Amino acid sequence: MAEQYYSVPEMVAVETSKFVKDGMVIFVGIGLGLLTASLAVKTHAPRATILMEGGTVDSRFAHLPFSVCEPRSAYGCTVTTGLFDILGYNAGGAHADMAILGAAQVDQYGNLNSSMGPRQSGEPFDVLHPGWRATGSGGANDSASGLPFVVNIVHQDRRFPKVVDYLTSPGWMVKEFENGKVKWVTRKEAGLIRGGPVAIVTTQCVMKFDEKTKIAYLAEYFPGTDPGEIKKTIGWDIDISRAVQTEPPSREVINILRNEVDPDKVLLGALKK
Amino acid sequence: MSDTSESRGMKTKIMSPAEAVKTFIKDGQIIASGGFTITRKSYAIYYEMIRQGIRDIKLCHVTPGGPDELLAAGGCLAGITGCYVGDELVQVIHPYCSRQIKQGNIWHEDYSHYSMILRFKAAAMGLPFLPTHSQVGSDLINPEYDVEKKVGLRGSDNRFPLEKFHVIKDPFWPEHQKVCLVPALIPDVTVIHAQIVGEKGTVRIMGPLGGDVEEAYAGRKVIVTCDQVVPEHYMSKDPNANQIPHHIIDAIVPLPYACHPVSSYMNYDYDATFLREFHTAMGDDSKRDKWLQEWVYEIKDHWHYLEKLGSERLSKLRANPAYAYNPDNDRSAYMNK
Repeated sequence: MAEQYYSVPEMVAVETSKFVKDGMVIFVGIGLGLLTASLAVKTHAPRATILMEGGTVDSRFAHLPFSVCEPRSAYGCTVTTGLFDILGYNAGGAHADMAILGAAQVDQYGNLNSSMGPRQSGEPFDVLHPGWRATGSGGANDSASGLPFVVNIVHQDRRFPKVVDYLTSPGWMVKEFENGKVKWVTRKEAGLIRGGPVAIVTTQCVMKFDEKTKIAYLAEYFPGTDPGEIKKTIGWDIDISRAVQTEPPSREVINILRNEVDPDKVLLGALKK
Repeated sequence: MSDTSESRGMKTKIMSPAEAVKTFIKDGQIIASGGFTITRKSYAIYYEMIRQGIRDIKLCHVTPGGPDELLAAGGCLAGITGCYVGDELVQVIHPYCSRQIKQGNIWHEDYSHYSMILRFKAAAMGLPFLPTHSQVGSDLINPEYDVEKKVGLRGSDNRFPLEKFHVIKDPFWPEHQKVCLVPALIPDVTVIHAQIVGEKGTVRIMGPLGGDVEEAYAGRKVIVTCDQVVPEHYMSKDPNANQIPHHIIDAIVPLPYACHPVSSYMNYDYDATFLREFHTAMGDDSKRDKWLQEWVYEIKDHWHYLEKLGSERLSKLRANPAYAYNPDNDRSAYMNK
């Protein structure tokens, strides 16, 4: 195999950027989503518009920000406003096309957990003494509730349970609570009339959602990985029959990522393999 | 302070951070922290809260940041109502806070980012609640995970709503779709930061606003730290640039680098080296107390803090007007990790 000229985070950014079509209005938080959207704007989607929840529209960064609201985040933007306009009008009111989100866990229906969980996945837990604690929703629940979204996640054991331990951001089958019982319903039944997960891009593969069952299946696997091995890491009986190997990213797009999008390795340096 | 003709006969709102904390902030209060992670968080006020031994605070915010970690380590917090436990890229998850939450020492009630601003907006409008699509279908509205109920605040403390959320069916349209109602949140004190404030209290925030306007209108009392105070007739020259009217503000604290180590758009950038050391110290039992000793307890006041940082360090944070930040700012503490 030829020597790999790209890193895993770079591969994930390139694969995710393919979901950003030219002209799309994209909601991103801080992290890989921002890198992805910035790459898309500098390559095939120059007319894509980036929204960030601090209150910026169509920023054209001179230097990559550490936060979606710090001064760098506003450089070149056409509107500065507040969080309400971005999450209320654009995400909730669907005046945007897609969100790119991260998560600690994702399940078969594309539900995300970025909040907390028990020590042992699948066990009940006391919310006052969770086994682990992650950041929480931030704007993830809000954007997942109103927009189509792509999820980025590190491919590791225990990150792909059949059912997430805590449902932070809604996928295709979600929870309703009645008289102390949990009922699973479609997102539309629950009141989420718009949006839903479109794809999961991990550090090893791309998953998409079956039209009928809404369950995630393996769509692509990255060079150097194996569908059978990937299947072993997934908590549901994932369909791998439709999987094709991803083309490696072009040297050109990797150079743009390294030299133009993130030359200071602000985000590339922060992302672990 | 020039031109006092407008303020003649009116009690001044202008005071030091120590006075502002002494006058307005009491044990057990609900305090709303404005700003957004590494921008416009009034660290000068939060340092002072620790020095004055404020306790049992119920912290809330649209957006969190390092002050959550700082106030937790300073022993000020009973709990936090918010959407995120971290400082974005400068500290993805707060190590001290997250550990206190896991151990049950500090409670954390999770809402979504948008739900939090809606709660403040409802309070700002004098409404009991506002509706949203957010949170339906998720564990954010799971009754099993109602933290404020589990710690006994609902029904006993009338500043806290009887329920965390409520789902209704829309009565107006044929689909009768379900929406989530979120209750109003009225802080006892809101703390925000603005670049420019008029003598009477008119607020001009520059750059992205986050949730500060909603938090200010919601608060029973509002403290605004600022980079500059100006006569109100200067504010009248460009009223479109102003967001909060003077009658919402109770205290004005003009202070250079009030937000250090974080930024104030167009005035100063964040101190990445300081943030890295601060967050690392918070996560390390052997370093945390030493850091608090050096940067909080042994510091007399904000001027002493600035003196300790030194003029070279502070000068290098000054923003370039073409960028609103310093393009040559040393952010190496967070690169090539």
